[in-house]
Amino acid sequence: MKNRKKLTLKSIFHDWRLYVLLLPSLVYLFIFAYIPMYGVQIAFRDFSPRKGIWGSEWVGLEYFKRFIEYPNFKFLMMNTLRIGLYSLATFPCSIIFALMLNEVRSTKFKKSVQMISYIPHFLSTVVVCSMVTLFFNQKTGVVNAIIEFLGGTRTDFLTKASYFEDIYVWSGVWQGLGFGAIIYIAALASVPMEQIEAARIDGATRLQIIWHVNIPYILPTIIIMLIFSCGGILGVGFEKILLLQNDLNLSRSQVISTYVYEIGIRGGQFSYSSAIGLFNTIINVTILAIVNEIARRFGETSIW
Amino acid sequence: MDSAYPIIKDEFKDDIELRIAYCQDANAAAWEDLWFSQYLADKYNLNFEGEGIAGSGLGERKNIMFSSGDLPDIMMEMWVSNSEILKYGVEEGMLLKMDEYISEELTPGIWHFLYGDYASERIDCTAPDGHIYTLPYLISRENPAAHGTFAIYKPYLEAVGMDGVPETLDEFVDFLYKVKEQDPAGLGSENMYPWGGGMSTDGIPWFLLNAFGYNANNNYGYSPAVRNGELVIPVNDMEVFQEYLKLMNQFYVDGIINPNYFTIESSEVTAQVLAGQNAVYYTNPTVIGVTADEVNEKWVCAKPLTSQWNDTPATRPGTFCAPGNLAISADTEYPEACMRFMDIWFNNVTENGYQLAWGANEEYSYGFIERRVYDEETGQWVDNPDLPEDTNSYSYWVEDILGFYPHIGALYLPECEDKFMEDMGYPVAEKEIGAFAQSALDNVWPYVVDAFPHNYYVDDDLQKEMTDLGTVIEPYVKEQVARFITGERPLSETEAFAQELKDMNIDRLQEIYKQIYDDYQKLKAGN
Repeated sequence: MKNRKKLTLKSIFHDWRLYVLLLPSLVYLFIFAYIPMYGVQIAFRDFSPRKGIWGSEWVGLEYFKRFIEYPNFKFLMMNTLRIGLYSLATFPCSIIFALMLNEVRSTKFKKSVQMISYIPHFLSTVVVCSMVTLFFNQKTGVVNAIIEFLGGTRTDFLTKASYFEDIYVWSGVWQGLGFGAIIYIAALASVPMEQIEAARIDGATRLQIIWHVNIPYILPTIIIMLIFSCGGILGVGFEKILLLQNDLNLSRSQVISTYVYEIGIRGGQFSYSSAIGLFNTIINVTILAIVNEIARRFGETSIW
Repeated sequence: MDSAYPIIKDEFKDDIELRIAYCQDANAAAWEDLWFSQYLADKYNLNFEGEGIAGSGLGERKNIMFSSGDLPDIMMEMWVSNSEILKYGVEEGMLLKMDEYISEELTPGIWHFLYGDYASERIDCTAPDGHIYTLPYLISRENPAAHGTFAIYKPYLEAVGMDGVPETLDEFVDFLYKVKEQDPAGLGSENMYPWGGGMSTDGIPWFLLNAFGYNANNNYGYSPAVRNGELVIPVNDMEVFQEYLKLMNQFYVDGIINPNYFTIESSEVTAQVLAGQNAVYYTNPTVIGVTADEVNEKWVCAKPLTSQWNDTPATRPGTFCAPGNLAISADTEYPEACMRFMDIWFNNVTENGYQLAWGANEEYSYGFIERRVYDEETGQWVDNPDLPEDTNSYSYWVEDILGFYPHIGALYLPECEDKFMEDMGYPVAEKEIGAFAQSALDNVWPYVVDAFPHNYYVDDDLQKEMTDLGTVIEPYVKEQVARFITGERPLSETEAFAQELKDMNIDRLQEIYKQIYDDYQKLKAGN
């Protein structure tokens, strides 16, 4: 972000302890994120395990072309975008939760709610999907039991394709709500009390304080998090989708990542799957850059 | 080559360690705790670093091994497919050309079978370049279970007044409905799902597809089948295939199949079978813990059905030779030692060859017990009564002795078992075929008709084309078939479905399969 000090040798030596603290993370990032980048060229080569990455034949954009010409290309993109944009639309949930929690006066209650809301974040995807499958089961699930108790009809949510995105996204919201709110709670904790007091003295209601004091104060944080979220629109992970997928929801649950898993990891076509992954990444980075630019032009906050 | 064993001479025993990867049973013990690893180290001086891979992750692990070039010395029970043999064996040269090491001296067992009685099956193991990259699992041509079996619960046949197994589709459907109505298990009719299993879990719809004339083993109808001598993809033959959809939809609406038919887990299927909620099961129920005696008493193999669309009962053959489960890395430092290990699975020449199929005995116990004991009264080998609780001979062998069910080698051939019994001085049981096995011989074997080959090779470009077509068509077929069966899509739209598939170029896929089938027929005729 902005406000960087001018980096000189002198300033480095002056702050050498900070750089030593930073060093392990940089080394980790360099070894596990930057060095492996040379492998991205697999997407442009006909990878042969025997010849290795450097020795494999260069085929250029052949696999990118193959993906774009794949008959289900539009179908996969639409499904991925649909789920990605739906997930993005739930972005405000953590913010609203943080704002609500910030208004709770009882510290004990506040901490209890915070802790309970964090817990799902630590459950593995497999456990969450098993819970979803159990809870939404038509015959034995608690959700259908409640629906029936309230006079409704039991519905097989898991096998109706139209419910797939809802189940996927809202189970993700449930799982990530508490943990996602942490950063906003931390930002709200630093809102100056004087401003809130001043607003109260001026006769502002609670909602007006939230709208005119709290939200503007945490707006830079919100924008940064939004930019990051936009950068992951096409990054719908395959694990949860695969676990919730069944024969009857394939028309909505087949996304780019499941296709990559199918032909790459299971089918052994590493060049082709790398090309698709790189294609995905390029789109995500492009969206990230566009959103960052929009944020920079219309506000003062941006990642770069 | 002083003797058959040890494979590694004593003076080198501690210097050599080989890596072995295998697909392990879900409940298997760790490699070092298995009887198998200790037996190999003790008798053959073979020290292995073993990697057991769960079945669910086998495909991924195998691909990562191949793509990284980090193959273990030996790949066992890894189901190396024909396309992998082509790609990694023929093209990349990552698999050992075993034919260059097969000889009477080095591998007498493999030589005996693949260049002897099973020479014709050697063709199935031979890649297009003429080399053998994987060794097969040889099944006795007299094994009653060699062809696909499908089990019916006999007490329910009796309960509904049926004399023998159904022979027509109408009789079979009638049987299922009577079981549902009469509820012989007393569980409540609403809890009876006579047609058990799930579509993709322990599923058996292929048996119904046989009744419509499709000699296939796929439940959804997107794999190639032979009908009236012609190669078809069933879902591309909508005139008849829609009748199958109508029947399955009827089953769904009437509760003959579970409402969770498309999401049911294997554990739930097993529970339903054991609770008596189902009248049929997709294979011999010993795999779910039912004792052999109970299977023989209460289960019978179904007969392929005829119907108004098919007047010839037929079922697809199993295979007597399944290659792919024993492979050696071309980079191994000890190819001869690895080949000698492979030969253990085909050992019909040296003593104790059958030991792997037998398991622990007094001579090689390592803290394990014999899984079978001789019953003097009946003259049969029966499960050891001292086996751990909730374990039978099969599960003890698969979980504790070997760690996997070995679809490898020739040890199940009668001549191997006979030689072992003779070498060990064990009493030979009277060769009795159990009632279930006999029903397979009576109800299945006479109707086995050749179908689309189990093993075939296609080149890389054709494989890519098949993959591209398959990844579009197969998920679509799966979903739409499921929607038709559950009624989510009306059956009046089957023609529209057929047109959708044509638009996805299913005709081209069928053309490719037809070419493979024609080549297979020519190869058979030439031999």
